[in-house]
Amino acid sequence: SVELEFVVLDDLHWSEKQENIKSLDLKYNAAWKTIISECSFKDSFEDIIYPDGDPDAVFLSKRDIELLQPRTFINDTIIDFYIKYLVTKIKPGEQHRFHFFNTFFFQKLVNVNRDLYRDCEGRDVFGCVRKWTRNVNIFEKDYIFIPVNFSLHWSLIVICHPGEGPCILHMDSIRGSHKGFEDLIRSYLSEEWKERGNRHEEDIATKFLNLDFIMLQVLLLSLTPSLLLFSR
Amino acid sequence: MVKGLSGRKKPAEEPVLPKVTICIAQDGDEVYFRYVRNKKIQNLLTLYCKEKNIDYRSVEFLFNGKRIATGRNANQLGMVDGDQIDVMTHNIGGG
Repeated sequence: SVELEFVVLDDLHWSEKQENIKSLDLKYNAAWKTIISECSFKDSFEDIIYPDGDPDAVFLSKRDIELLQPRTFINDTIIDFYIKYLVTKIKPGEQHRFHFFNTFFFQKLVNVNRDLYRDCEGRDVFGCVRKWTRNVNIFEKDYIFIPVNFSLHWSLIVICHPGEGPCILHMDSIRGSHKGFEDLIRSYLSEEWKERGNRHEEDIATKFLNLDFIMLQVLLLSLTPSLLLFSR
Repeated sequence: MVKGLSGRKKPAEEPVLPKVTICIAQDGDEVYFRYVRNKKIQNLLTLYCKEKNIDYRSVEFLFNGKRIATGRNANQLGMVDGDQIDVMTHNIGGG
């Protein structure tokens, strides 16, 4: 189970919001825990660079944190921050098995694909992200994660065992809302495979073009929220 | 547009700072700059935003797919002539 902590500071409407969150699932109500801490928190949220020293560190400002309010859309910074946080939870010896693209990877693929719509060759689209993986061989990974944002909605593509018999999972809470990206991902994999000096194995590259997409409708994550209430 | 070759020649005693040509690309629009290798890239990006009239905080700058950390310069990023910085807009969405 996952434990989720909220830090609440001076929010007059918190009790109402809290009830809203709890009403989402019966399990939330049962697992809810309020901790009132004397720990003092600074009035203003200071900008955070996370993880500090990471070449692709995420810069979080107060403006991003405000997006964590209920009924508010979250942005790429929050998504990328959370992915980086999750990576720290993977055992160091296991980390090499995974590759996490940041949220801009898919945005870039889609944008360039749109711009080149009339002359949509896989290689052109690939060119824009060719250097993104120059220090990593994605075909040595067990799982590749691609966060997807399209029409104000987030979903997640997971490429399983890309170097062996790959299978692609698309996890989306709204079934069918993110359709039509299959070929984009397939041709990306095919081009990346050729880029890795696997030109003599063109037949394998074409295999990527026929990969099955498995749509998974992920409704609610099983969460065990606990509330961390800071009062001064 | 080429920047950095502004106007008159400097007096000979001043050292010539090594520069690199950087392309800043946004939605198919490319702008080229000649920029000092050991100066913060951030300053160039701020200037770019000012010229393009965009809010610096409303976009993310990527080099080879990675965010450009505060305070880094072209040398630290291993940039060579013609390297491209992608300007990406922030996305929001529900889960």
